[in-house]
Amino acid sequence: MRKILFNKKELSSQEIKEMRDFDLVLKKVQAQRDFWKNPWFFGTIGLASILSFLFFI
Amino acid sequence: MSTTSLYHQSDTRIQSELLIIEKSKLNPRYFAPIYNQYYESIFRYVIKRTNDSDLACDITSNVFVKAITNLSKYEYRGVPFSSWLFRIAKSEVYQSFRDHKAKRTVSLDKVAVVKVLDELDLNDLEEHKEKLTHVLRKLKEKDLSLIEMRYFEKRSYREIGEIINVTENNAKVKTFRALQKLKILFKE
Repeated sequence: MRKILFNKKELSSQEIKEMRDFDLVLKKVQAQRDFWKNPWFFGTIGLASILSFLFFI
Repeated sequence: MSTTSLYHQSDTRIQSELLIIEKSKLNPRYFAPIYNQYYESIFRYVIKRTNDSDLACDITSNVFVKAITNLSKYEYRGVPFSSWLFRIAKSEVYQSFRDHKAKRTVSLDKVAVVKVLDELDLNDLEEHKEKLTHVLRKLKEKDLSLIEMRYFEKRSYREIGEIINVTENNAKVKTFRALQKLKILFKE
């Protein structure tokens, strides 16, 4: 069920500005990049691929 | 009908934004001016649909993470970068509905309600407010989204088209049809 709100007080631009955290965004971007670079990730994917290949032949 | 002004940018501004985007592809730190410029409009887009400031803050942050992560895929095709951000925001908001983190909310103000009632050839706000609430709950999500962007957020058809990935004309037709469906539901 959708909630319909009438004339709800909106946050001010200053309040929204205070929520900004570009460093957190950069940290999350770096964490994602590190995840894909992690050898464990490809090791697990590689092992899973070999096992499935062996299973099917 | 007046529309949101942030979207309509000068060529100089678009070019300077593209320069920042190119630099950000090499180093995300350069993205800060774009983050600062669009944070508020993306946050407002999200909170109007979720009504939860902490969640809106998280979703907005994720929108920029996704934008930076996929920046290499971004190509300028005459569409402002903000439309690309709103497309990501739309997708992130729907993802949060699917994850049950957020409940779909529609935020209305008196001016927006009067405008919609006017389009429906109705004029008594107090008399029809309750009915409008009921009808907005029944409207299909894609139709609601069009009505919301056009009448509650005052976006131009061009911007709506770019957000939903259709032409300006098609956005106009779809919004008109959504309004017709709203009219039919109102008469039921």
